[in-house]
Amino acid sequence: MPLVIISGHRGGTGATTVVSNLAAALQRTGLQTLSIDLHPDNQLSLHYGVDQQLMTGWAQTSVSGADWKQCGFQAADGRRVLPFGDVPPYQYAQFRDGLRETVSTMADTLSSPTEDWLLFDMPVIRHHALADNVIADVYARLIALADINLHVISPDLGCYRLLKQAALNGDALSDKQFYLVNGADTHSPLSLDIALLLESEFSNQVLPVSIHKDTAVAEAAAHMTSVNAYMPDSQAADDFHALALWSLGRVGKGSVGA
Amino acid sequence: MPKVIDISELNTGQLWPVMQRYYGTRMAAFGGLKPYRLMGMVVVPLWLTISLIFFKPTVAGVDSWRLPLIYFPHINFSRPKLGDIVRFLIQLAWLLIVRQPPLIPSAGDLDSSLMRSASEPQRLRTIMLAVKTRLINNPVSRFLSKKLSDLESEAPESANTSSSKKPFTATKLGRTIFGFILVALALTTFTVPLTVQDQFIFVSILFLLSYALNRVPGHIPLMLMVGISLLATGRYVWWRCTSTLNFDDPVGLVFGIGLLMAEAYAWLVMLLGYVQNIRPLHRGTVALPADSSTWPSIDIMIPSYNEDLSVVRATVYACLGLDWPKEKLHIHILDDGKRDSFKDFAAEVGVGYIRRPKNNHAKAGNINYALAQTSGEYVAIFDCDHIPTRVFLQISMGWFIKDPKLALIQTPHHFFSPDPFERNLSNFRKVPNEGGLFYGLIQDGNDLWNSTFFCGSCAILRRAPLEEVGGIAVETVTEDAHTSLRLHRKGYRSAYLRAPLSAGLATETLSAHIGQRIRWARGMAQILRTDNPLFGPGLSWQQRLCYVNAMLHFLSGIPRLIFLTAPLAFLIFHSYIIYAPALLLVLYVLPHILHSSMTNSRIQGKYRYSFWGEVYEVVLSWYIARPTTVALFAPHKGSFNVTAKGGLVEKSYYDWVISRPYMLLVLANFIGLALGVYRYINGPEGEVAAVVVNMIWTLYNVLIVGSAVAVASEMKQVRRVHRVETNIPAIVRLSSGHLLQATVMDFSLEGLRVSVNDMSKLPRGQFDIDIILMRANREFIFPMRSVYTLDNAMGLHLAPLSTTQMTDFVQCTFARADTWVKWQNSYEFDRPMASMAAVFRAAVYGYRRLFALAPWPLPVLARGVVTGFKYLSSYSPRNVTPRAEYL
Repeated sequence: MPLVIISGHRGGTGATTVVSNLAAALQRTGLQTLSIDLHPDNQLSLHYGVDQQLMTGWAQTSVSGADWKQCGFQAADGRRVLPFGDVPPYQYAQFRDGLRETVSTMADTLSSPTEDWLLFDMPVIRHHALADNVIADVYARLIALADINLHVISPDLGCYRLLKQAALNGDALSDKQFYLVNGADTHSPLSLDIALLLESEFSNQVLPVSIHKDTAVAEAAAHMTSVNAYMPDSQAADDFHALALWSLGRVGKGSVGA
Repeated sequence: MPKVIDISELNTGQLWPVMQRYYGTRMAAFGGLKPYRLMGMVVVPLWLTISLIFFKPTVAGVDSWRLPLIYFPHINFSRPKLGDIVRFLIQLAWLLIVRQPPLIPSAGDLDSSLMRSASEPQRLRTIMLAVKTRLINNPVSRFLSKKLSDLESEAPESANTSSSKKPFTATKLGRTIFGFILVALALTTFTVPLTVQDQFIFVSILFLLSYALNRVPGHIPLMLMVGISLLATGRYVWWRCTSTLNFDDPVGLVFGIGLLMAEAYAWLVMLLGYVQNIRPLHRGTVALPADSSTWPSIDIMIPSYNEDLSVVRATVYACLGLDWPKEKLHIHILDDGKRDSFKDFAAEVGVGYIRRPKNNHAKAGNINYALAQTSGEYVAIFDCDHIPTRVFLQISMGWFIKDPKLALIQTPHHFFSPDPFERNLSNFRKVPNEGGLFYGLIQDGNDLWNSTFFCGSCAILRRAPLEEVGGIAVETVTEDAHTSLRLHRKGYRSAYLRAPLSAGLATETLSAHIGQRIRWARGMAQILRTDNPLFGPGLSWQQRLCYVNAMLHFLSGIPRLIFLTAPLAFLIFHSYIIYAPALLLVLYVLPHILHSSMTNSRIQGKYRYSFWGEVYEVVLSWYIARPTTVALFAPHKGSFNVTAKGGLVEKSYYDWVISRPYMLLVLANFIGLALGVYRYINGPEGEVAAVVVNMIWTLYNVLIVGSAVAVASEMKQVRRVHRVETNIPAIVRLSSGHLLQATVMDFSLEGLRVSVNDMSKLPRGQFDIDIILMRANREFIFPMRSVYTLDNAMGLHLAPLSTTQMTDFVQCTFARADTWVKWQNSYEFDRPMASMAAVFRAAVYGYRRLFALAPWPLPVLARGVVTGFKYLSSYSPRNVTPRAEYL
């Protein structure tokens, strides 16, 4: 069962949207996907048409004691999602203390798969110094298990500098970590130039596929669905299809559906 | 299906309304747009009553009352005319004699379903196919095909075996002996006298053999076909020279020898053509070294004299985007027109601009002057309207690195606009054009013998050899071919890459086209006189033959005119120019013609369709006859004329000036035909066969000249910029920020047409829109304004662009590496009969146009003839195919 982890390289790059749309594109190729929200903001399920009033989710059940298996949802196009749930601040400590156990029980259940692909929407944890050690540790172990670890970046100066900084620091990248350029704006020469720069300087890590800046993506999110369902003729839908094909190719035929 | 009424169920009280319904609906079905005639009111109800009483409700799956509608589709029974009785009887006879396609095709029966769906010519094709299949599936051809394929598969093995086991025929002595035997046998076959019956049997066997061979793929069957063709021609030549000249009739002898000379020319060209095209080289590409710093420097020269700046712009933009290290690529506009607009443009886009003080020696002089001003190791030359694709240099330069003696690489001249033939005959992209044969086959065939020659554009030359022969030759008006001849004489090699790496504009009008060909013809004749490739140092015999053939091609004017008028010598002047019985003539000349066209159709099938070569030649014959003759005797006379391009034919017209010689030919041939009819009726008994043969020949000439007449009828050309059809992905960006997947359907220098799946997202009326085109993973955005929307497509016009944007646009469209790749592949293989039909249709069209535009009373006369013909053809029987709604 291929495991994809998607996180923004920094905030606001649209990682959550990518999870939802990639899941939709994979689903369209006939695969069953399950997306799991690892983000305390609990935004992912909104893209699957789940009512925001609902508070349940795997993290929430871990503090409330309910069964996490009961809080999954299935969208109209067949995508499944497991929300994070609403964990109030005063329960964070409890959540954190039980995290290791929660994750290991979840891992046991998920290792006997009913799903073809698992996608994780993971929050940005770049600076371990600032991060909560327990959560960072658990998430880091998850990353080690992933087949693809996708960092979503925007073709702007901020992201370029972050990447450049990391390269200067000599940070080692795993061979499963990739950068996906999201929101490439053909209208803006700067955006095009930075995309070109990223591609030439980080040619091994930046994906050959990028997602265009297309109003349809935001509109699809507003309609609580994927861009593929909302406007299949849009370029963004085609881009996500290409991303799905790339992911399938990357993971390799042998392991798909295994 | 309407309900069938069973009489027995009828209640007499209801009879009248039922009768009314029965006759009413059916008579409506028989009725046309106009009301019934009285006679129709009798005939149709009579038939309906008969069918009701005597026929089964359905016959052959069709309601029986509908049978006349199906089997007599050309007769309107509601308004019968007197002639319809004859039509009815003819059709009835036809239906009884000729088997009609089955009414209901059984599932899986391919033949019948083909028959049913096929239109008239297709059905003919299907029938022909069936006949051919029977012809081919005989034991002889099966045996042949097996033997030959064995031979082909053995060939490489025998080449690999060690030299000790070399077959005797591969040794030098063996070859000589073998050659002698072959020549002796051939001469015997050519000269052995045969009776009429024996000759008939002989040519029949040859024909069947060749016909079977034509179906066997591979190179050896082709060689055998060439052999058979030479055999048939050889016998004809011997017979023609020995037994058809009447030395007692001086007038006949003069005409006869004239025709013989013309025929000798045709035989020679046929023979040389076989040598030239027997095995096209199909050269591939050679990779350049990985390190681009070792790549040589190149000067790109774009000579221009009087062309529009807009034409030159596209070429310069495309050159700016060529894939080559920027510091090693120097682009120069060689402006002989001394125009400041060009100078400003060159400065604006940052390319070189060379203007010379004098304009001597036209294009050749222009390039030679530029050679002195530049220093790159290689010189690439593009006519100012030839737009190179970005890969041009990378694909072609490898050969220069591999072969240091290589001095020239030529690539095809491909045109994205129709030439006058294609435009006036409306067969653009349907019939391979005049250049198709030369660039598709002949240059490739030349390449095998290292005699590809320079064509003036879309080529790269190595500077050192070019300077060694004194630059581009200036002595003749075809400086290109002459230059390569000199290079070959110095022992340098040339190469031909049969890949369309650039595209340009074709000549606009027939007169411009003819002007260009006159120049080529004169130039070639000049070379033949001043620097004859048959003589002089440095050439292999194959190179000599290839060059001579290229030059001979342009001497076709006088022989062609002789062929067009030869039968008139008999029909008008009653002179026997071929002094032989008609039957014998047919038995000798027909195999010669049949085999040579069959073999040539196989060799040239994808590049030139049968009979079109004749059309191209006829159009030029008159015009090149004089200049070539003059140039042969006085090679330094005559002036240089520039080919005009990029113009606009603003309204349809008939070019009476250029078509004057064809008119004369038409007139003479019509007189010949009329006299032929007279001779047929009044002539002596023994002459009938000769009259018929000559009339068939004249008729053929009339039709070929007719298509030349059609070409002179200039069609309106509305669009100044030509659109190139394509199919490349693109993105449409709306002002709302939506991006839509789109496909570019065609593009021009001024805009493009795209299709999108969902038009509902688009605004209405005129709107601004951006188009994003991709090239090498990069995206370029171009602002556009919508011109129209139709179905799923919209026409867009480019907004004003900067130089960079314009370069990008040309790069994303014209200069894309894959833009012209489909060239030549879109043509089907030649089908001689279909091709002949197409030529004849063109001829009929030509005559109709001619007479419609001619002064009174010809248009009236022509209309009368057409009406008469239409009336007569209304009597012709036709095959019937039931339409789906009847079933």
